[in-house]
Amino acid sequence: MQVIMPVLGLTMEEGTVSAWLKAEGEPVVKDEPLLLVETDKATVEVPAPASGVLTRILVPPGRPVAVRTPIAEIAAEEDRTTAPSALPPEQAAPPAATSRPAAPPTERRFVSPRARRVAREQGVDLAHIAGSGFQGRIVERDVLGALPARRVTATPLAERIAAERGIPLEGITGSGPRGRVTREDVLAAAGGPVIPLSRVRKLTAERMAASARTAPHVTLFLDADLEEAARFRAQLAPEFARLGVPKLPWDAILAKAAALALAEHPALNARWVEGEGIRRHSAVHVGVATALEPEGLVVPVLRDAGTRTLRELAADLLALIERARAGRLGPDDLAGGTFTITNLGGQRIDAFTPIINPPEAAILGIGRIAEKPAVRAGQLVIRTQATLALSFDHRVVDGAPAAAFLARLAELLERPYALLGV
Amino acid sequence: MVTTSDRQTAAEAVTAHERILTYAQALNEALREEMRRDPTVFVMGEDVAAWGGGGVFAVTRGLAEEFGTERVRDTPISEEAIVAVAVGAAASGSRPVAELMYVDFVGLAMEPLVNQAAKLRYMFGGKVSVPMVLRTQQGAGRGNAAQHSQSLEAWFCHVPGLKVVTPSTPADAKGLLVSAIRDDNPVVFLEHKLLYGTKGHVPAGAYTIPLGVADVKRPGRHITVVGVHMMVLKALQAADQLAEEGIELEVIDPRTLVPLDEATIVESVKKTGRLIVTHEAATRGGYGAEIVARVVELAFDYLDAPPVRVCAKDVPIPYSAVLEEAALPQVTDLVTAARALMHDEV
Amino acid sequence: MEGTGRTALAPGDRELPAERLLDAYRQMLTIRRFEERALDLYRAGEMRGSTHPYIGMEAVAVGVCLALEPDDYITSTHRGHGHTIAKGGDVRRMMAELLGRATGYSGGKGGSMHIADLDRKMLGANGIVGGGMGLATGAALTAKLQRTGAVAVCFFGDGALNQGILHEVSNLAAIWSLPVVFVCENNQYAMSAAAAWTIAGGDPAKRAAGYGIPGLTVDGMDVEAVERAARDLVDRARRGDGPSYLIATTYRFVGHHAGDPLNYRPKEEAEEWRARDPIRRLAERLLARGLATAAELAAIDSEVLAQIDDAVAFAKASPPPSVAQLLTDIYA
Repeated sequence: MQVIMPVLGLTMEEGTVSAWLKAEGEPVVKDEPLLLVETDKATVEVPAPASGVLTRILVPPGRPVAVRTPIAEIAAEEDRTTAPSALPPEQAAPPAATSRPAAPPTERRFVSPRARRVAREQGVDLAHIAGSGFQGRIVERDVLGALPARRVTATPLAERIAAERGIPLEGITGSGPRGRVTREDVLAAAGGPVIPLSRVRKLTAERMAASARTAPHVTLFLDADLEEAARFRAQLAPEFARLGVPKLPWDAILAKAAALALAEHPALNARWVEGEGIRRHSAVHVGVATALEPEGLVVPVLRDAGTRTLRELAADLLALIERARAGRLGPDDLAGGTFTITNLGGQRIDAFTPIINPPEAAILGIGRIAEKPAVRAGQLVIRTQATLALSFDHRVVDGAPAAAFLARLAELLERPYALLGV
Repeated sequence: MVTTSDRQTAAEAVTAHERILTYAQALNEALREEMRRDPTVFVMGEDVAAWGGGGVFAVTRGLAEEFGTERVRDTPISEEAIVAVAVGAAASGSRPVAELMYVDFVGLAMEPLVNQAAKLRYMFGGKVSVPMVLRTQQGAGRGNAAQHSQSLEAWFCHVPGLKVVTPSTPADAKGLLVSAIRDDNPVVFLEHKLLYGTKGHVPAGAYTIPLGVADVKRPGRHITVVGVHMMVLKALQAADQLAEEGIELEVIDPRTLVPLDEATIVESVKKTGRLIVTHEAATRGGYGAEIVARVVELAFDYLDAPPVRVCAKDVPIPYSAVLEEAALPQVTDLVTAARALMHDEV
Repeated sequence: MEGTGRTALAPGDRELPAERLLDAYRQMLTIRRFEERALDLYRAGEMRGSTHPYIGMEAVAVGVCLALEPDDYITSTHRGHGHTIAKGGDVRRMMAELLGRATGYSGGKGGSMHIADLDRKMLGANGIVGGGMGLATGAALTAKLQRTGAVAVCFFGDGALNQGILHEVSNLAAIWSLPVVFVCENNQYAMSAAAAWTIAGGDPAKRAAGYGIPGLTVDGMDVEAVERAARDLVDRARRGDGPSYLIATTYRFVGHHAGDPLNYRPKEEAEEWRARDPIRRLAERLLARGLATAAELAAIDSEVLAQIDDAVAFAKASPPPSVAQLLTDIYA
């Protein structure tokens, strides 16, 4: 019969044999002390569960094993004296499944296929392992538990990178001299750095993917002449500064122009409502996409951009950007946009196709504002220009009205004085 | 461009874009979209048009109104003819979607399914295709008793030439039905009567889920659970319970039984070392046995415990609620089996 | 057209042109010689499985197919060689299939009982008695839904008259008014079971009345009579007037297959039927009407024999399928 690691307390999960009081081959008498077990609380004397011969010690002193793990085998006297063939058939029946743990025949050791494979791969001799699975079956954890703790050596750089990224060195095969784990080994094990998603990044990813998947995008391009607008801005900026608004951002001018054009073209100031239809907005609130590296992008909103003055919009925008960079944007700063503008002009980008900020109907992308060649009255001239890109949701609006809106927007930028109110 | 607005509006917007449909509605949408796309697709079966405006489970609701009764054909109660005529229509240039009201009635129609649909292509040296779908529903749990509650997927899986699909979610139901309709082979598309009312996010518009790609419905480290139909849902419930004990189930829905994505199952078992298969079909000769066999063949050396079947008892499905519940595998059975595996009791 | 009865349709004076009749003669002879050679090959151990000769019944397949257009579908039975040839099938590829060769219709995967020619809208011989009934009805449904104007003809034997599927598809085709003609080749025996014993109610054409569709009985040993009756029913179907039954009374001169003990029918009966050999009957008519000379008919016979010789040579010279083909064509 099997001797198992006894349960010596309610909370005991494992125990360590501190000493065997009998040697293999020695006779034992039921209830005489067989071994000492050390728990986290005390060292306890454990009596022999049966009389017979201690045929095998499965767990040597010093190694903790789970409770109920077989730790030794006793060939009990009854086992030796009663020949099964002498019993009537009914009594020879195998023990009921409930009498657990039933003793496996000592000559046959059951090993799970997985444990057998791991033992083969790790060069572990199964003969010296005690099984902790069903009826003493050796399972993978028994084999892994028998492995000597592997001493991993690594280069200092590899150790640092592994620590920084939380990669356990134990699982890595070293390719350096004498199996040393190198920086390359750690990076290969990591499969390249994985950057956890911030909330903003995650939302950005989800919403952009949803927009690209559901809204059929069409993008219109138009080269707008901003020569006059640049002059307009240069003249207004000092006036604004005098009134406490240090700068006049291009985005404020663009937002104002977009808002005025939207008021005239309400088809683009709308949203797609799944299962209902198209909802037009009464107010115009223009969001301005703002990059927050590396977290993602946020879109603070200029409320009532069409009806408020350019100076108010400029002041608002400067304040919003400051709050965005400081991570202090409140829900009110971000809610309620009906249209978005996004400006990559600062990045030397000529033009791009923006993705609509759902559930809005359209978005305006502004490329680099710079001097570019243009033809005016048959002459090649140099003018300050930018490529405007309007992406719109073709479910909500068609090409012609979108084109009319974009043309009107360009017109407002080319004759910017109307932005001051007419 | 890349933008996002604030969290609240983002959450609202995402909700506005989520389309929550029932499994039946998702199937209806797949049929509708495919019938609009391909004029050779038509539907026929018992009570698919007139009854309540479209089928006793409402899967074909409104289709007759949109496509007319030429393409949404009510049939007499003639199961063999429904399937046999679908085979002939498919072999001659149509894409029929034939419906059997209950899978239990397929006994009347096995001849055209097994000897005609499944075999024409092979017998004729690849010269003919049979692009038909046989839609039907199976499963127990509603007190429909022995002749209206069976799960017979294994019958079909045994016949080379048939494909067998068993979606468990609305999104899978739509994508798989679209794929089944577009597939050039006879596809037995098995639905589950208790799943029709279940709800989930279903993308708008046409999309396909390829036949032969399993879905890991929940990842976990300790036990691979491969379930069919309702048992996927029950396995997920069991996984929730067991997570509190630190036992992690990896729940895999094969989604199509033929072809079977054995790679996903085998990879999972290589990780976990333990396997439970679970279906409402009777244990004996069930498809779970096939999955176990393949895992034993392909991943024997990764098994740390014997595979376990948590399937229906080998009994006709009884009527009384007490008996029916006892005949079917339940969440508690899965929990018990998983605990036994983790506590070395098997 | 309502009701049933023997050639209720007046044959009128719609005689086939001479060249069509000569074509019919050549096809019937091709079937006869093909089947004779197939039996030889079978007995010589060159074929596997079984082969079911159409000898004696040639006028049915040929007569019905004379009434069809190339885009009309047919379905066949386990006794399918005659239908394939009558629909214009290639005897080389048929013979190669009988010998299990790669060049056969099915690449050796089907054999005698599973020859199909989709290019000729022949939806296949079928090893299941009644197996073609659903296929033909389904093809008729496609024709109706896609408005192709095609008609489907389902050939089946007297044995299949008692399969349940016939009831289901007869009813369905009738309520849906599908363009399908159910042609029963009543060759008097389903293996050993005599039609007189297996068919309740006497004339099986009467069963059509139960579905409110026409049921005709025609002399299946007379290719012209078969053609006339079939044409009326096919035309009717093509007009959109729905399905019908055509019972062609005929006889297989030889056994159900090569191993048939033929102990279940009197020798005298077979002799009586042989006296009505449809091929000899047509030859006599062609001669009597001056549409062909004996020399011309003899020339056709030798051409047909040469064609069959060529088919056998082609088949024997063809390789068996590659084992690599075993697992192809299971799925598209």
